[in-house]
Formats: sequence, C-alpha cells, structure tokens
Amino acid sequence: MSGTDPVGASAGELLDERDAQLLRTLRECHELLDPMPESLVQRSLFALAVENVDAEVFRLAERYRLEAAGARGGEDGEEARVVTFDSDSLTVMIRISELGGGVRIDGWLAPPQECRVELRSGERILNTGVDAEGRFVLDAIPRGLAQLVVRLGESLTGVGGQSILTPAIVL
Amino acid sequence: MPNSTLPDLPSPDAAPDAAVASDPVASDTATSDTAAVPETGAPTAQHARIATLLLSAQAGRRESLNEIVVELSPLLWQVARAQGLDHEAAQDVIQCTWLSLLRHLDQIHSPVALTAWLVTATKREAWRTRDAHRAEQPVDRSLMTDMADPQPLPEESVLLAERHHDVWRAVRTLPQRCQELLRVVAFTHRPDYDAVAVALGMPRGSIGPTRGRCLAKLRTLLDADTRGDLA
Repeated sequence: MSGTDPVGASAGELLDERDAQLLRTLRECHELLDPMPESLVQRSLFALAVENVDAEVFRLAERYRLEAAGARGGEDGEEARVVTFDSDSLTVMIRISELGGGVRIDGWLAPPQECRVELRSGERILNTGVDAEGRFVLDAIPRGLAQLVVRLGESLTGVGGQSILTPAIVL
Repeated sequence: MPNSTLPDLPSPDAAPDAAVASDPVASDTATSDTAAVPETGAPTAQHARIATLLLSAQAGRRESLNEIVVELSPLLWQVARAQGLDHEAAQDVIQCTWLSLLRHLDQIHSPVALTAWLVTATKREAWRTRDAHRAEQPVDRSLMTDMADPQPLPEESVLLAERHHDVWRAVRTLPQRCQELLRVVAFTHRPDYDAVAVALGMPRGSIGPTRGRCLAKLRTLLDADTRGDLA
C-alpha cells in the first residue's frame, strides 16, 4: 500500500523550517484567540490530590442548570445549580445552593443504595451517609473548589470499598 | 527505547493498531529530526524530562504527576476545544482525563505513549460530552456562543498581531479536519506528532488529512495569496 500517495506519505512528513515556523505562528494564534484558562491546571491539580488512585471517575453528564429562585420555597436570594455526574455504574445528581455564608449540597445517588460520600473541600473532608433512597445532604461547606467521592461498601456491592470521584466542582 | 504497545487505551475503538505501528516512527523522529528544526524547544530534552517525570509519578510522587499536568494541559486544552466544547465543559473533560490517568499510569511506558493516551482519552470524552449536549436542550446559552466557530470573527483580527493575519486567514480556509490536526500538532512536541495524529484518527499514510498534506495545502494557499512573506 505504500507509495500510493507520494506527496502525503513522504514529502509531507518531513518538516522544514517553514513548516515549523507556520506551526509556531499557528500556536501563537490559538494562544491569543483561545488561551487555556489558569483555572484548568488549578482544578486538575486539586482533583488529582485525592488519596485514592484506583477510583472510578464520574463524568459531568449535565451542565450547571440554574433553578428558578424560590422554586424550593427557599430563602431570599437563594440560588441553586443542579449538576449531574455519571460513572459506568452510578449517577449522582447534586443541587448546590448558597445559604448565608456557606454552601449546601443536596444529593441523589442512582440506583439508590446506602453508602458514604465525602466532600473534599479545601483542607477539610466532610463526610456523610447516603440513605436507602440514595439521598444525602452536606451543609456549611466553604466556597471554593470541592470534589465529591462516593464510597461504596463491601456489603452493598460485593466490590470491596470501591470509590468514584468527580472532577473539581466550583462552589 | 521504542515501546511496542500503546498501553490500555481507554477505548477499544481508539485505533490501537495504528498507534502501535506509528510509535517506532515517532521515536525515530525524536533522534533524527531535531537538527532540521533546532528552535522548537529541544524536543528530545523535553521528552527526557517527561520520561523522568513519568517514572517518578509511577513511583507515587504526586509532585511529578503535577508537573506532567502543567506540561501537557495546554495540548489537551486544544484537543478539547477543537471538538467544540465550551470553557467549562473542556475543563471538566480534561480533569476527567487526568483522573482516569491515575488508574492507568502504571501501564504507560514512554512519553509518546503518555501523550497518545491523554489525547485519545480527551478526544473520546469530548465527543461523548458534545453528543450528550447536542441531545439535550442547551439550557446554557454560553454553550452555544462559546463554541469554536468555523468562520473568522471580527474580534479575531483584534486579538491577533499583524504577523499572524495571513497565516490565520489561510488556516481558516483549510478543511475542518486539517484545522483540527494542525491546531493540535502546533501544541505537540515533535516526537509525539505521529502518535497524536493517530490519536486524533488521522494516522500518517492514511488517505485523509495528514500533517504533511495539511501543511502543504497551507503553504500553497499562502503562496498564492501573499507571495509568502511569513518570516
């Protein structure tokens, strides 16, 4: 099959100085037009600072969605976002609302099962249980980056202590 | 040290065979090509550094992994954005790539394989995300306005310096796949060029766009357009 396209196969693959210059110029164009946000590396490093390296990963399934203020009969000025994450086996939906000085998360895990969730937030790790309906609540969370870790128990899954991590969430 | 397998790609449909075939080529490029273009940031030294960081990260040093993140995130940013993801979605996808890497780190044995793995994972996840967003009603309007636009926008000429204009205008008339390939290759270290093309589904020697063909087209456009006063 070789030699069917001499331009693409041979001459094309060796770069000369002009090609290199073109690529440098192109790189500069993209850096100017679409610079990588600094927050990307910050969030990635935060997310990677977990202890568990053998965890599954929750992917963002649905983007931040604003809920109408007061839809839940909440306090004045309450603003809530709903974010959904999927892993291969689980879905977790979290409702993030701001209350006074802190942030509250109402979560639903599906399929529902009793287990633990942790929220890594700054230096702290908040910890709570998930009830049989898959619900959990974390309260008085400081603002900033946070990461949710669902810890499935042995008795519930047959898989010993499996963890599933989200990317960093901006609270 | 040519690595013979591309370790555990995140997807079986991610063209692992082609990646294996091109990998030794990529390693050759590392040693033979550097003299031709000395000012691309000493690619072999760069690779040696990433090789060291990779070994150290595999031994459990998080600082080394963090350095890899700093080093290669700009490339992954281009990969995700070239798929049309907005800022937030691109950042989430790339974070997921890094988190997934934690589980696969032990199976990656060279800087070329690392780059190929990261680009493959990011592109695959970007596709999934993009398709999911398409299926939904986009609730967030910034999702639409922030997408990569195939047409040059007026504000682009404001952001770019004078010397970029000819190249940028010519690039924008290339086929979409060429634009994507060149965009990502422009952020890739030379020894990784072939592996990255494979990861993007555009392997060397394939019928579709290749780096060489896209660059040749770009040069033709520029020569026809401006009598080539690029430098």
